[in-house]
Amino acid sequence: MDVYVVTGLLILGGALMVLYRVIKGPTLLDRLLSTSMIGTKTIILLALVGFMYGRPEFLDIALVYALINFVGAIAILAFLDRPRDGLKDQSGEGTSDGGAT
Amino acid sequence: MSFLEIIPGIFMIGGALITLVASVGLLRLPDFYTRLHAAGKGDTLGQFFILTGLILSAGFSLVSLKLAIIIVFIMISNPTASHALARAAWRIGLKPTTEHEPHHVEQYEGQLSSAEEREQLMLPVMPASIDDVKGV
Repeated sequence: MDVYVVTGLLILGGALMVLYRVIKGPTLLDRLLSTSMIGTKTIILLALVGFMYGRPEFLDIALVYALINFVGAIAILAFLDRPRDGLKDQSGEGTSDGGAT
Repeated sequence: MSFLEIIPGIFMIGGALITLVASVGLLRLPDFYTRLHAAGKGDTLGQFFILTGLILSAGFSLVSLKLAIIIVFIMISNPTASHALARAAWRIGLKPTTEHEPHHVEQYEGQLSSAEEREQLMLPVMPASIDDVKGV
């Protein structure tokens, strides 16, 4: 058993455990966090598979997927946290400068 | 198993175990904010170790440079995404749970007879007024 295979299996086990939180997570943000975590594990798995088969091209795919994962998470958050008219900020804090301007 | 093969192996298996611990934390912790701690910190560190192990096993070549670029990008983007998640959760109105209360002194009111017992339980001693607070 190669060290790459053992590491890959451990990472895969971690990704399957996180799948439970994707299904069960009571809030949307739980599911978003878990999906982002599966994405980061995918990056590691891509790099490991590239090393196992001796193909360095997989690292380019891993870098592109890192960018996609990040931008996707930020896009969903920007949609959740968009400025709404007529609704007060529910956390109780107003603008970030405390109403000075 | 030469010496040059063991060191990358230690890095990679260690990084995989850290990531596994972070996943278990995501399953077991009670609240979104605590799960964000486990996911953000543990996962980023595990990735750093695994990719460093791959750099060490690949030697000095273009592959190592690409891996170093991936590491730098992950170190920038994962904490930023975690901060954005926490900020969005707070602004939506998600509050942290307070189910697990800390150890309060009031439950032991009247039961402790001496200073030694209090010291054994290691209860915090609240200062009576602001003048009692010693400088740190």
